[in-house]
Amino acid sequence: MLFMQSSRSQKIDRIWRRPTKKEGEIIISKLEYFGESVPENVLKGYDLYILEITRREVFLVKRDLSSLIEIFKPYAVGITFGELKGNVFMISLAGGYLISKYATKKRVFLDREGSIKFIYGEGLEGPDIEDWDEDIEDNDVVLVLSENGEFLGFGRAKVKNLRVVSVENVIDIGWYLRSEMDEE
Amino acid sequence: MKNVVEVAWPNPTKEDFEIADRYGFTPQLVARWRMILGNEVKDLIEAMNSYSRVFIRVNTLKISPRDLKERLEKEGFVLKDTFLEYAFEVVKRPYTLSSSREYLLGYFYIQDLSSMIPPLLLDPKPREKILDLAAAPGGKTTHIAQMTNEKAKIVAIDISKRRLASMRSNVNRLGVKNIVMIRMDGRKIASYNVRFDKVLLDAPCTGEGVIPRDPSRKTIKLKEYKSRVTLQRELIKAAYDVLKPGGLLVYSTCTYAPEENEGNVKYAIEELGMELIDDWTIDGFKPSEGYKLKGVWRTYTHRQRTLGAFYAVLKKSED
Repeated sequence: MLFMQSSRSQKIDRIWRRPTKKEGEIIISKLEYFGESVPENVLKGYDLYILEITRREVFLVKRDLSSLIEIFKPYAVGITFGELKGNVFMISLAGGYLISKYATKKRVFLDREGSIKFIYGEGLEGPDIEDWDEDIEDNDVVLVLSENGEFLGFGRAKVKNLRVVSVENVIDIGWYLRSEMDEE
Repeated sequence: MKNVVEVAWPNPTKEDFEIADRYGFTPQLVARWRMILGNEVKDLIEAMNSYSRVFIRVNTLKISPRDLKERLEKEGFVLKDTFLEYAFEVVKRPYTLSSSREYLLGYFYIQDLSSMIPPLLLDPKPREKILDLAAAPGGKTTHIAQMTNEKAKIVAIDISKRRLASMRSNVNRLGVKNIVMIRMDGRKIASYNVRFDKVLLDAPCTGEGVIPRDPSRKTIKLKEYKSRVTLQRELIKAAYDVLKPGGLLVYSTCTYAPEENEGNVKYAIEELGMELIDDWTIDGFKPSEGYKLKGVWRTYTHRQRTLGAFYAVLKKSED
């Protein structure tokens, strides 16, 4: 055996660190996907931290908390902004809410009925889709917004003849409730 | 630690046995409440048995109270104002609050009015370093955050992984970005050498006051009181150790048990030299006096028509 196997009871270190240059670029590029000014608006006044255990979770936190993070090596800080998987940044629901405030691209707007179906975990067909940004291409991940422009989750758009004809539910804010139920 | 439990458990009367039997409490608990409240004990127990009030706290980081009220009323909810302009009683619900879009969007937190008092007593200010010593699932922590418009530095500690996971979900839903969540035994906080301007200790307790929500507490074992008091005093000592000179500790519980309330405040005054701040008021909120101790306050389900709670504000000396 070349390497010793670690003991199952061995304590796993919680490594808190700032993103590397490359990780930062991946995150910024994902934010720019939803609009050029999104990174600047979303990150202004905040720091990004990465918690590396078995995964690389990304947190968005008020800028003046860095000394406390270094001292306490916390369980979590601020909002969970997303997760880095290889060279891909997956944005969380809390991250999506923030991004939606400044997004100008890749948005699909639902009517009231469609919004309710979507937060109950359903995908959507034509009639419930009220409007969309013209830059959306087939299979794009999109921000799914209500009739009031409020963030409901992420979807995958199906486009035919320049029209968004359906949205597959990737994740929606109903998850907050469903995860509570799972806990009980 | 001396004088851990000083408060008597009187022998139950025949009537106490009858009430206990009818409502499913232990006779000792009924006798104890009679000791505190006299004949009002029947009113308390009946109020606990029928309590169904539901309150929400508007997350003012995301929406104004007026806009939320208007939206929920359009959905068929009926809201009634409270003494807090950003809290409402929900008197009619066409469907469950937590399945509303507004809940999922993080526009409000479901919380009893009695639980909104401790952050008000703490009176958090921007730039203060604040410790919430038994924080999960985060109702009071996120309230503190919104009171400072996310401008305080908040450290929230809890020992339970499950409860912390719930707190993290709430923090994400509400979109609060100035909370550092730590899983640890709060009694060990002093080892980090960080000092705080204010500490909130909403202590783990026997929970007599939340029996309307958790009836399993009707039959709490007597030995639990002693272990709770020991833990509470160790947490108070930990809070004292990390407070800056002149710093404030808000101590609260959700129980009527005097040893967990007034007894612990006496401990903080007599053993730790803390000063009881007794001149606070909250417009529109009229709490009841403490049990044999002035300057501390209680809520009872039959009087304030909220869940039961206890509140004290203590100050560490300037030296």
